[in-house]
Amino acid sequence: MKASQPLVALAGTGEVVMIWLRSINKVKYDLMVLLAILGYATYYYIEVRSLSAQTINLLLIEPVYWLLFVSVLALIGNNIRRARQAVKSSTDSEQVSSATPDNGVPSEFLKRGLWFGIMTVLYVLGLDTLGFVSSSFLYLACLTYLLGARSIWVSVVLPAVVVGFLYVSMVVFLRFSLPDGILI
Amino acid sequence: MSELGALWAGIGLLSDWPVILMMILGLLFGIITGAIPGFSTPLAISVMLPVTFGMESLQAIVFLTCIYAGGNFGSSISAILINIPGSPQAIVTGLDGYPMTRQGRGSEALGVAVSASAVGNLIGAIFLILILPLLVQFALSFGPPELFLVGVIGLTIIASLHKSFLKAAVAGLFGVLIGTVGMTDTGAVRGTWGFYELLDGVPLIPALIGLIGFSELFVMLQRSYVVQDDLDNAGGEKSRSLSQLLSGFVKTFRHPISLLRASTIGVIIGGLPGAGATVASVVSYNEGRRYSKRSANFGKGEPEGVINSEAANNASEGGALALLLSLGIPGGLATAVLIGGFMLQGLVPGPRLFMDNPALMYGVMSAQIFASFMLLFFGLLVSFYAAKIIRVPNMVLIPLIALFSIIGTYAVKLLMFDVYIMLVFAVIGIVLRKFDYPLIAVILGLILGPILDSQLMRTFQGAGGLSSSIFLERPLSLLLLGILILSLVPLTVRLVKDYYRRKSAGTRENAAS
Repeated sequence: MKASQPLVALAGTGEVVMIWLRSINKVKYDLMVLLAILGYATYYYIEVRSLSAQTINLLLIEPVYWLLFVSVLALIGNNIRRARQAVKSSTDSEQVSSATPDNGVPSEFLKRGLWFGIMTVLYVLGLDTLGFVSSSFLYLACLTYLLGARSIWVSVVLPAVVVGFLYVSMVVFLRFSLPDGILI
Repeated sequence: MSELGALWAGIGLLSDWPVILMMILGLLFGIITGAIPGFSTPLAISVMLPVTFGMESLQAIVFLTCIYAGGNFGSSISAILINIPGSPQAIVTGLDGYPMTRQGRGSEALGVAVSASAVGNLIGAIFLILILPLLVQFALSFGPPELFLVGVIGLTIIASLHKSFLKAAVAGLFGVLIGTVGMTDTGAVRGTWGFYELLDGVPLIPALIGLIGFSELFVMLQRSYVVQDDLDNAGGEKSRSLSQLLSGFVKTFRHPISLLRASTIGVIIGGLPGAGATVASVVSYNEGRRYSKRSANFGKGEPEGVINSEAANNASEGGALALLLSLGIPGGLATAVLIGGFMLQGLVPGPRLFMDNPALMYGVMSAQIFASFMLLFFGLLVSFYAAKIIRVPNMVLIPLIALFSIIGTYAVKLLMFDVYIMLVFAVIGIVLRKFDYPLIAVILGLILGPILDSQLMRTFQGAGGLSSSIFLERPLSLLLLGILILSLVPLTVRLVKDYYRRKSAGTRENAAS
């Protein structure tokens, strides 16, 4: 009887640890975002602290940093507490979803988002290399096509008209210098 | 020349048809460019500065001030229809305007915005002419401690932006920290990561477009249309839009108290140096929400929210112009660019200008009254056609908005660095949206951060240190402290209620188990 007591205690501790681990797992992405914000704020705070006129430079930043620090800790605690309650009461993931956002994303949206992100980064990088007119035309034409447009009016004529209008109004009329590269 | 004589002479100058033409062109240009995300009002004024070089003084100044008036309204169009404010001052307009669009009431929201903007502009113009000397004297008595407190009062709105106070606080404080990046008044360089482009601080327009605009495009990718509901046939849609537009237009006048309060807040805050239309609209929205019978509907598509924001940001023009015309102090970025317009005409804004050219100055001020009536017509006209944007499928709209946003971001300073900043903030915006943080809190922090920082530093430098007596011994500071404490009461009540609700829920759970 006496020998089984430590085992029972150990099992109880193990269960508590498991609940904690499962709770943290449920809110791991929330925690990552909060830690990223806190990480940036801490880096910034330490950087400003190392400046020569520390008192005046930290006048606003110090109280704001500590308020942020306390808020992040409170939010982390809040998220884990809610997740723990959900895990403990063995409810389904719906209850946890109030603490964490729904991560179920349709694959079609993911594909569109990916295309949009890639095309935008390529466009921004290509602006200086190809030039405004050619890169903007390619961006509009390719992106409308990738997002589902199958009409030549939408994927070719519209981009040509829009880019032409922007070029004439900004370069000719407003005298802006838009990026130019190997093309225009 | 007596003041009344100068006023009549000024009004007489406006009967010239080229002046009227310039007012119309200025308004149209302001409204249309204001509606383009990233094409801010200061940018619209600055690109037109060279055009005014060959004009007569009154034509040139009236043209530029009408761009200012048109831009203040125009920025609400994109905020309402696609949740991308054309300029920062329309951020809070989108809080209720965009939900109205999502409910199929976009035209109504635009109608509300047109009439609220016109009334705000009109009240601002009347203030400009009648109460200008008093207003300027009051604003001038604000020292750094008072301006700091105004910023803190503006920050208290963060508390009411989200159901989770902690999330709103984290987002807002994160924004304040980002807002303090750059070179300080003392010459210290903070958080620039070695980029000299950040010495002036994180550029607001790219950050705004990235955080709100681009992250919104990612949300739009999930839908085929801005409005997912059925698209009526062309004629039906047209009539529905027109009737909605007119019903919204009329609805504004059913809220005279909100209109007057928002316009007054707009004029006063517009007259404070460095505060501007954005702070005016945010404070007005907060106050409108506080006093409204429908405060629970704010943020869900409440026309009163649009009224509070639009009337204030348009009325702020009157306050900002009062400061500029009487003392030559720019209240914000737009009026700073306007000084360039005066300089091009060989005029220096300030008391001397009133003494030398009273008729010209009264002409400029009276033009604001006429511009308000013109805004009613041209605002409705542009809004009627702008509403059609919701009929464009997202596969066309998204690439076009992305292109305009990128080029708009680039055009502000002709810097590719700004575009990269915009993309960085787009990623931050997508992540924060995904995890349900209020983006508006980050933006508010970004705007108020530099104001709070510089005014606190000036307070410190002026008094040789910081102590509570700085704020307690000044009557205006004391008044603002009182307002600050009052504005914190609803938050405290909410937090206490939440605490007891959680506590009682916990007790019930324990009893059940």
